Amino acid sequence: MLTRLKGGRIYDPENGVDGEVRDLYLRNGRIVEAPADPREAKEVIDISGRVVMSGAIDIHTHIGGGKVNIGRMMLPEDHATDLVAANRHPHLGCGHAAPSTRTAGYRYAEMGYVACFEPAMLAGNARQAHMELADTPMVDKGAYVLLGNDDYLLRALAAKRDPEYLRDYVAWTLNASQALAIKVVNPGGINAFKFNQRKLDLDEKNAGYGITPRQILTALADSVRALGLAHPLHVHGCNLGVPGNVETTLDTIRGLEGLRAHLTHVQFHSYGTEGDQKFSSGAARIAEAVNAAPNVSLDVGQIMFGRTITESGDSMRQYAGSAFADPKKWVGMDIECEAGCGVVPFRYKDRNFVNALQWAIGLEMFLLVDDPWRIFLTTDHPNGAPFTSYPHLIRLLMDRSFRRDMLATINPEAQAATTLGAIDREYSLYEIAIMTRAAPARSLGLKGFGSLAPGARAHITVYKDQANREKMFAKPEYVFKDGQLIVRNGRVVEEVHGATHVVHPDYDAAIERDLDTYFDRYMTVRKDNLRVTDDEVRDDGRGELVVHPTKRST
Amino acid sequence: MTRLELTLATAPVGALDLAPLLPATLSGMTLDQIRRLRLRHGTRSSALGDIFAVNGEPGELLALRGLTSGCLRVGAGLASGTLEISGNPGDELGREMSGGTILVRGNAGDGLGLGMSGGLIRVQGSVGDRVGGMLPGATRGMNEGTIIVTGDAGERVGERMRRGLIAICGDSGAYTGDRMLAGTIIVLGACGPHAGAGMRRGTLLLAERPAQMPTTFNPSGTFALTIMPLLAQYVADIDRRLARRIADFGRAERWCGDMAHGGKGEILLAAAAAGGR
Repeated sequence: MLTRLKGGRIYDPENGVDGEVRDLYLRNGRIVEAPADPREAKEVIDISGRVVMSGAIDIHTHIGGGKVNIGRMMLPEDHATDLVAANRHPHLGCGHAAPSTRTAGYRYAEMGYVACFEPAMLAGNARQAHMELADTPMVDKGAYVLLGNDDYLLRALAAKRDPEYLRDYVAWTLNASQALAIKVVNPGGINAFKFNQRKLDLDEKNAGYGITPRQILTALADSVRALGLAHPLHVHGCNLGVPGNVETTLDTIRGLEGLRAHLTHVQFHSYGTEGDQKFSSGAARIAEAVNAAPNVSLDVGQIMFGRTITESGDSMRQYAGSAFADPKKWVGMDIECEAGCGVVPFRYKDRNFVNALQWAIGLEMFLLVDDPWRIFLTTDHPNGAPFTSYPHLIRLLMDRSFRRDMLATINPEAQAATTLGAIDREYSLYEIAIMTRAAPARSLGLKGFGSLAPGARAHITVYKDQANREKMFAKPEYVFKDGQLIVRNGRVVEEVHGATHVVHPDYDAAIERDLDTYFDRYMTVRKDNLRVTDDEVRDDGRGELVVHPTKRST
Repeated sequence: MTRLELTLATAPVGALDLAPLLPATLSGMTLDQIRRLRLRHGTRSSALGDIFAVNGEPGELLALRGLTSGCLRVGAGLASGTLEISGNPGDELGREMSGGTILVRGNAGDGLGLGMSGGLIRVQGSVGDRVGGMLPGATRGMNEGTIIVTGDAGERVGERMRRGLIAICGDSGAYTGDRMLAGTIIVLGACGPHAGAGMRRGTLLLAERPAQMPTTFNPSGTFALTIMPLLAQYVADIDRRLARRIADFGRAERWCGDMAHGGKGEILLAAAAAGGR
């Protein structure tokens, strides 16, 4: 059936459309060319005056996998204090910072999101992560697999194996864990923690292997390039949250030597040591470096004031942060000695100098990086804030006077320490559409996403144009996923299940023999226990597997 | 004093959540409005009038009669006024209560006074586990208030209790005062094993010597404690019999512990119990 969305104002940066009023036609889950006679459309929805964008994509959100579940278990109060009325959708679940899978899917859809990506899946924990993603309805999903602290890779680097060998290992891991991209967290640092190192700088050697984070970063970035993955290496750098880490981050950008990389939650990596409190903003320096380095993209990891949970694979930094846990409890974990994880509940306070400045640093970053195609809107859910704060964040970016009003309420010393008040930039709807739709779709290589051109998948969000952008983005009037109306006036009207996006790059089978030997010798399971099969992801037909091409696809 | 009386007529299918029934909430309503209130049971809800017979006049005093163990969270969040309950209400009675009084003529379920921060609960029958305990995930239990149980209590009385008084006139189960942070627990009957396990501070007052004193508590002498008459005086307004029993305790044998957790807590054994050593 042909459906006509009549008279909407289209923001489609992928095709350079900036606020043009025109009709959209959908058929069989795709956007199609306008027919010769508009009356061919059997269904007409009048959206005159409404703002139309494609479905939003969250490139970095912790919605599944081991650490999220630890968060849920450790903080029952996160659920008990954030109940969802049971009569709304039976068995929907609840939760504020670590909501249940189904709640997360619904809340994303109700904000106009159609795809979300879990950025920290451990290969050894991939099955659990995929099961949780399978239980997350409404959105398409995918996961980035963690490498860089695993014994096998570090041994291979220490033994100076050739790059081809590393690529095979990286490709095998992507296949076995059904991942879309590679992420590295505190390269070598999580591992160094187990050798009693409590910090690891970019050029500091891991005591166990004699390998530096820089070596790991470049080796992985190079593998990702050679395998031809659409998404560059997803980097959670060294020294997260450490004052002075702006130098590390700048060093990391320089050290990439032109290799593509995506620096994630950069806000946490942009701290200087100036001022009385020895804590200052490095956002301007990072933004300058990023503006000059077209190989680098980033997401911000904006913090918002209030209660949340920090969940990270970076057990080294989470251990350091555990002293500030609120309420006072935390979990540090290790799985199979392959990586770590730390879960620390936290409350960001606007009266606290450091928290207030973190808030300002994130916003400075958004406003000082010129190219919206290379900066994505995230709060590193739930580490900076739950994803439900995105509409508020969009308003902060789009509304200068609102931003200044908010700035006036935070810690006065932080106000004095930030340049935020002097920045006039306001994001336009077009730029918001870039950073939440077109750019992440391009960065992840998702064909048919982030576009409203004929042939694209019919992921469409329709917003009422309101001066209050927070209200506007919190409650889309219509959300279509694959041509189907799933949300009406900010409420889910139809439950659907999205696909899982993966890559299957080819590798030399010889690596499997080495891995078999390694697993037999060192691990508690056999190598083949790790492999998540295509059928498991398809989940008896509830899910769907979308394999994206790489340079080395079979 | 005006009195509103709700008598359970038809118990619905599924656990009935009675948290909305507080004197302060109902006091401004007409009887018809009260009958139309929706009460949740399981995944459904029904009008209050279909479940309860409604009589009297809304005010400071609310009587709930004929409650069964399917009635959960009775008086949850009570801040003022009085609830009189007859029957055997279920779990989480007086949960997160911050003031007012709840009187139960019958037995109550688990989690009585969970996360309570003020007020008084008196139960004339027995209660289940975790009296005055903590809410799920919370690191502290009862933070203030008084709970007096005439009958027996289950396991983990006053788990992680921070402040306040719990008196069990009958027996208490295992782990009485488990990981207690501070506050006072009195047990007049037999106290189960592992009393005061992980206790940091606070007082566990036992009228009977447990079958075995916990190994991480050290005896530290017998004292005539000034606190006893004060405690008796405090309780006298609420329960004269309990006050007399406390006054009869006499000199108390003091055990310090839990030594594995700082040892600033104490188990006091009444003179009679100590003498039976």
